[in-house]
Amino acid sequence: MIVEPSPIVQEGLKNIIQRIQDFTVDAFYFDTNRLTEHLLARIPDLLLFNPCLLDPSSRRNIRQLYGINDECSLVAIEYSFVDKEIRDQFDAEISINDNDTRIQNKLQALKRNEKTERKNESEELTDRENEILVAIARGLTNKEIAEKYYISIHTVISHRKNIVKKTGIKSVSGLTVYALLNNLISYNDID
Amino acid sequence: MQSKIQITANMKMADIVHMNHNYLHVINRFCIPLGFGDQSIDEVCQKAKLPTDLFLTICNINSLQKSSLSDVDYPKYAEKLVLFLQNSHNYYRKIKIPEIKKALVSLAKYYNENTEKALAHFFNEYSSEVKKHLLYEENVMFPYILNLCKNIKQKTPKEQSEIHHQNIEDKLTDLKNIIIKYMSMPEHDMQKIDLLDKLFHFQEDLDTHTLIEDLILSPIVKCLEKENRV
Repeated sequence: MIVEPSPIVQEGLKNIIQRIQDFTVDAFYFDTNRLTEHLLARIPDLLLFNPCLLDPSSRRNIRQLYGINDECSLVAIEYSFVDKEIRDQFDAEISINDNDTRIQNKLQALKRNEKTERKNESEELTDRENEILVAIARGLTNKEIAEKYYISIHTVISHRKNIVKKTGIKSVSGLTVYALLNNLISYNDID
Repeated sequence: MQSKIQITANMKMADIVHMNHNYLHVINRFCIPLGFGDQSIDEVCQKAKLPTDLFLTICNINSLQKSSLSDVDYPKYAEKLVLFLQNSHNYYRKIKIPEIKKALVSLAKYYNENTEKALAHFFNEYSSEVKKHLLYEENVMFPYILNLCKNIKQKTPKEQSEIHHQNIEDKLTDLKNIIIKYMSMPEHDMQKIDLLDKLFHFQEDLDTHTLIEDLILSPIVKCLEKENRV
């Protein structure tokens, strides 16, 4: 989605973006009137926005102002000076002097970033984390786990943090239930 | 106890229950009997010899996130507030925890024996932590506060570690996640959802309880301590 007041710039941007593989421009506006409504109907992956459209007196957060969630990356279209405070709210900037390769690189970098972030979120426990989880469920202390697997206590703690983050379970007895539900151990294994 | 509309003294008691049925617990924990007809909150509170502003500040604690009591009257509130908290504890111990345990035990039966045992162990650990915490408040904190009101000389009790509070909260979240994310057998989802309903309700109640202790009780205790120069 593009929000840019100048028809010349908007048309040029559309042309450049349409030529990039896997990118399409499916909405474009000249002003912010009813932008919130448009965004409510459909949140784009990328929102290219000219910061000069913001009312300088209201220094509000752009995402809050228009109801833009984290799934949408914000790109500033800049051809004049932009206040740092506003600029910091954007994930990337496109300058009026950028050629099409630069624009292409910036947008594709954003898309890659977005993909890896999503991948990290849904990751399952690694084999090592499963081993450590079983050890935790069996009632082993961090020190015992470190000795058993020849790793440092620091590493054990970092594995534990990841296990808690991925499973959403903090307590040892809760992790034991998790291990049993997933057939990682049997009840007799537990002290 | 969760409502955006602020409760005021001249509202009818029956009306606020229709607005948010969670106020029933506030009414009950202050030992106000049902059957108040068309009386206003102020009228009902006066009959029950309960300071109206204490009742209101508890009803509004979630939306205001602050106490609206004036510190001049703090000793007047302390006794009633302890009664309220004690009755909340009774409700958790006699109704809420057994109810959740019963629902969890009957759900756990559908899983293999190991899982059933582990769930029982998990819940026993949780409920004994909660009960220990409640007992500490009842045996140490509440008598201390009531003695402060009577100007009886005494030692300041040792604070129980805050980690304990956090443990209790963590375990409840753990249980919710276990049910939401990891329990198979969709044929028992209705039972799971019923249990989750109870867990979320309990969590909300505990959160409000903590808010009342932090925002209403704790300033009262500090003020009484100053007066008594403990």
